[in-house]
Amino acid sequence: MEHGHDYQPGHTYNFQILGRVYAGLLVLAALMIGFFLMPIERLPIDWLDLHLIKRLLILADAITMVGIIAGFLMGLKYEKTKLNAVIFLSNFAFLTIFLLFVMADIGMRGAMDPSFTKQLNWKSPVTEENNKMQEAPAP
Amino acid sequence: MASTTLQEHEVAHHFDDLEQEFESQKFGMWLFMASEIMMFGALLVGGLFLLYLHPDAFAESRPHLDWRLGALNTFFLLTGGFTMARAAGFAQQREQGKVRTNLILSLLLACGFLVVKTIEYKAKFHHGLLPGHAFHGEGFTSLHAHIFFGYYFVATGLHALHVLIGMGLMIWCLKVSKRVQFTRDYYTPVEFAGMYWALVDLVWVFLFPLLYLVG
Repeated sequence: MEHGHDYQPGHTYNFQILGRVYAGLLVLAALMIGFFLMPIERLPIDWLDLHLIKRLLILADAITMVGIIAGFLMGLKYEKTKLNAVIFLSNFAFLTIFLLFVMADIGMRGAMDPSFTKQLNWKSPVTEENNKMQEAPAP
Repeated sequence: MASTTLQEHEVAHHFDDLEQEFESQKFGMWLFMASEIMMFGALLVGGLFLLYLHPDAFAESRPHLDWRLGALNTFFLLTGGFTMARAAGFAQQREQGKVRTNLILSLLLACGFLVVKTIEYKAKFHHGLLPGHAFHGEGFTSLHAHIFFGYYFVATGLHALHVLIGMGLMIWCLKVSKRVQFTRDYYTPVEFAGMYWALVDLVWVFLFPLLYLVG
């Protein structure tokens, strides 16, 4: 097989690093569950939205895990071709823009369109069943 | 020895050399991953949108999902990602036997994930926690609980489909490993299957907290 020059595809896998990455991911997963189980309701703090803090901690944990997975298990950290990394990472930029538009839409649609609430409260099967029960003649 | 009967990989005729072949394939793989991220990203943003609109439905419905089963599935997927990366590492070292062992381990972990998912789905069907008009769950005060379960089935169903495809890739790698000798220069099938599995991990790392923990 002719390779032309001393080209070696990809990076060389290091089992020691892989082991650490795996252990780190397990610790982060355990930490995520720890945040979820944390009894924040018992804390005597009312000037701070502790539920929001909890959600943000879980989200930050998930983002860290995603970074480690993309970097080490997908091999983004070792990617020699910058274009590949740019293609992959630009997705997250597009997603952020998409998320910002969605948040702006949710936040401002009510002010612009008074029928917003009616439009999005889709008829629930639970409501339908309740209505049917109420409409049914008493035996 | 089985390894003596294995053939060496030959560069496909439409590529000039190994470098061009590998880099082209890798570029295609990253493009594919990007399209997958876009698809699941839209789904996750949709989930956040629903969480924002119907926090009551999420808060009331989330306890009907067992976070312990979700955590077990997280363990299966992360360990599967680790064994797939090990398989790629052993492929570089020409350790064909260890490649197969790690592929089979990954396959078993993926099976474990699907078994747990089946147990979860079965319980949802049994209790009528289904999307749209099929929903007949009892004891719900939220009017939009069916929306949560609609999202749950679409998101986890699409993810489970990707797990199935990943299992198909592992089986394909096992078949290739019986025919072709992996080397430091040619381990592409295992590397790309590992990348795909990492994507499956990556999506789950967002889905798990969104569905099981935040609500």
